[in-house]
Amino acid sequence: MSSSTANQSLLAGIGGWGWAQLLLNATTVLAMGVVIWASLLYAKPATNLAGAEQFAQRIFYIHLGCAFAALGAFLMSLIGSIAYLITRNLDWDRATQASVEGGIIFGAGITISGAIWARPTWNTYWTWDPRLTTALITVLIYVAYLLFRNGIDNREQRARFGSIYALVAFLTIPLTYESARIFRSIHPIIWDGSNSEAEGGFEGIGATMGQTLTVALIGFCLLFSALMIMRWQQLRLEDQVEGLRERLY
Amino acid sequence: MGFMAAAFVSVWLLVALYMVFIGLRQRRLTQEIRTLEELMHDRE
Repeated sequence: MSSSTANQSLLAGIGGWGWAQLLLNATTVLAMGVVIWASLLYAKPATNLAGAEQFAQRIFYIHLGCAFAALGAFLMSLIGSIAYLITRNLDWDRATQASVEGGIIFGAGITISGAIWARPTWNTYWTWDPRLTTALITVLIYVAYLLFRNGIDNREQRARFGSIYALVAFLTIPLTYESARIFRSIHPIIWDGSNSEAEGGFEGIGATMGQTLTVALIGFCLLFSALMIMRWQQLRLEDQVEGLRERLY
Repeated sequence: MGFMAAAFVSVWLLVALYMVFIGLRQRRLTQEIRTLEELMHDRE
């Protein structure tokens, strides 16, 4: 195959959208529709709350959905960084970057939705509570990952640095998860334990609440997967175009 | 009601902005591929 034919077939092949991805995107859109409907209409309101607090409690579904998606994203970035350091395959580095970007989006979603929920519940948008502080630090550490790696020109060096950074940055995830258990916190704990000083919790998750939560967790994980795959493909395309440009000029 | 609406809008606005970012980058890449294609065509 001649060089120009190879280049043309590369251009024709890159950036294609498969049926599997189309199906994933369609499922995600549908799932998000169901999440909105279930969160706003289907789930029964918390019986121990009233007024603005009772309405605001519905933020719980998207707040936890974002938390689950962010956890999945940062876990994927950990897997990607370890896999890159073992295999040196740049696809893993791209997966790490795409996952970190998704994690930042959903991490920001947790922070913003949490702050809005805090206003009617804690009477303030923000407090330097251990859980809130560690969550914010986690997002900022991953924002720094993108800033630092973009400053490195050499592709291999960038991937190596990014993988080691993402590996170390993941330590903030268990710290954030445990922060409301280890330190004095007013942030409620949903799973695996309780927090006697928590404020704004609600009693017993009923059947409709549990179903809505399940749908939200699945929906947000699908949303992360769809965004991550889309961005991963784009990063791959960017690298291929960069390689092609170097060959042509 | 206002807090709930604000939280829902904020989260989906974030996702929408990220999708716009991906879309704009994709458009730029498509243009670049077209330029490279034309360059290859000229060289043949």
